Amino acid sequence: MSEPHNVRVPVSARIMGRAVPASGAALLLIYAVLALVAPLIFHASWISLLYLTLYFISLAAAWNFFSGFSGYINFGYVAFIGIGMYAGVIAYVDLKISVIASFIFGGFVSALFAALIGYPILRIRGAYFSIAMLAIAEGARVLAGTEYLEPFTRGGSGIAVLAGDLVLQYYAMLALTAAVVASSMLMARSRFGLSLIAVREDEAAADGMGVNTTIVKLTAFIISAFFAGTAGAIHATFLHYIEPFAAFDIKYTMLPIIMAIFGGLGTVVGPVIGGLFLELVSDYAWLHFGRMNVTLFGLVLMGLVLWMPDGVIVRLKELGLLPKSRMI
Amino acid sequence: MQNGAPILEICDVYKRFGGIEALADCSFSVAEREIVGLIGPNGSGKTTLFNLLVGYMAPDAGRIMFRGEDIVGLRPYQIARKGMARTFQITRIFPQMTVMENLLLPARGANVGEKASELLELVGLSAFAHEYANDLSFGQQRLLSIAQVLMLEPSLVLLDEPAAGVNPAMQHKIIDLVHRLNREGRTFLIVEHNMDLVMNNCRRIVVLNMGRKIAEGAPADIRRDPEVQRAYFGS
Repeated sequence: MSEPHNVRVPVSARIMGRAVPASGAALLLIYAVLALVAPLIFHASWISLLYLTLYFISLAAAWNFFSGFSGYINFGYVAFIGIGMYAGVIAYVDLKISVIASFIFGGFVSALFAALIGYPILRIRGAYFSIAMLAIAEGARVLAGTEYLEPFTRGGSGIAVLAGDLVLQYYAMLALTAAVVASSMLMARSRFGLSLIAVREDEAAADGMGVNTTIVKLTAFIISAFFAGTAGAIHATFLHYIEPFAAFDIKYTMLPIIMAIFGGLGTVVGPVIGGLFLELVSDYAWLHFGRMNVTLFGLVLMGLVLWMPDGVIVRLKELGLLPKSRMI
Repeated sequence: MQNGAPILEICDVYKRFGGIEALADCSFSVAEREIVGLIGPNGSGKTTLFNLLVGYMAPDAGRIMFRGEDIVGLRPYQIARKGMARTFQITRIFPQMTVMENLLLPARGANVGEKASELLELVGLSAFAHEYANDLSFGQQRLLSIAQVLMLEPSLVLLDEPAAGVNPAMQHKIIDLVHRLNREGRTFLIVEHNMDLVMNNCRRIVVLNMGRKIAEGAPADIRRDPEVQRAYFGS
């Protein structure tokens, strides 16, 4: 039943009413403490794996922030990551800004790029939007290797970067992941999030209901790019070297999409579960099956499509094992 | 029959789709606090007119004045915020959002939660506030879509076949709601195929046929109008 009437309840509390139970908050706290002390306890190789897991969680969650909620499937996501990588590394190496500042700079340049392409590109819907984004990402890769941008990007020879250490990269990625997930959670239960879901459900009807769909889409697109660009800038220092093919590898578009879908599109926790599970599965498969790892990965995906097409989180909500709250 | 200042003036609106004239120099106006019926055979241009009014498309020629302001060229969300909103023939509520969320989406300003709760009470959907809209029956979705439009606090509501496909009890409920809201000061323009319903509830009726306005007047006059009879019965 609904809450008692005539009581002032904020809009956010009325969006999918129920809050997350205390057990959820307690679980979150335990994970947060574990994640914070991990570098003090575990061996560097484990921290490296944890770092990679966080990288994919933040990528999947940032992709989902725009595409999962708005239904505009971004197939050119790696453009945001790659531009963030280049912007961060160039700022660090050539402009000599601090490492932390270079991470955030990467995010801002990527967000600026999204703002510039967003207005025209977000007028295109469905598969056409996806294909246009795919072309933009490929274009960005080619551009990064051409002589026109060579003074900045060093063309195909790439740029080496020695900045920070694994512990710094780990904490930076942890902070970013927390920021992306917290933003998704706040967004999902705000009017902004509701407007974005309405765009996904029926964009013309949302327009008729007074929703400025252009602004809503553009805002989410820019925020998603900011997070992806920041993730890219951090990851560039983890890789120590970037070049166009690595920075704009389509793999980094596909994996976050698969992870977000695995966990549940348009949910807050879905991309976290997807990123965590699939990164661990693929790492395990790589370790034990070598080059066959892709096969195992493929089998997991087939199972997903067959039994949980809406993703793990949505399925668990349907089964009543998780509260039906937009916060999850 | 008009009992107030015009809230909506449609002046020589023209719209063509390829070789078909969907609307040809259509003009009429709606006065404040009226309930006007808009009828005509299938394909006469009623839905096209609704789409033009709320900004889903622009007319090729003509003006649409809403409260004295030309609204041609405005985006749908801008027109909705100015106070003119429509429902759809096939309801277009948001299925994966709860009933309450459907109402919060268009709401603006303070105390929107209270307003939503009151409207749910009014249309009898309070018990379903936190159910997905998808899980409501067809008639309930119709009521929800009307409640949703009302969250915009529109001064002019366009209803596209509000009684189609719902049972007689639900039809009564919808009609009562329209009269009640009309007494509170809202104006209605209603497209409806159910003749009895239009004749009994609208004091003024506009008839379209093949994109042209062929008659306008009180229900009794419309019934007797030879051109209207020709349009409907082809005799």
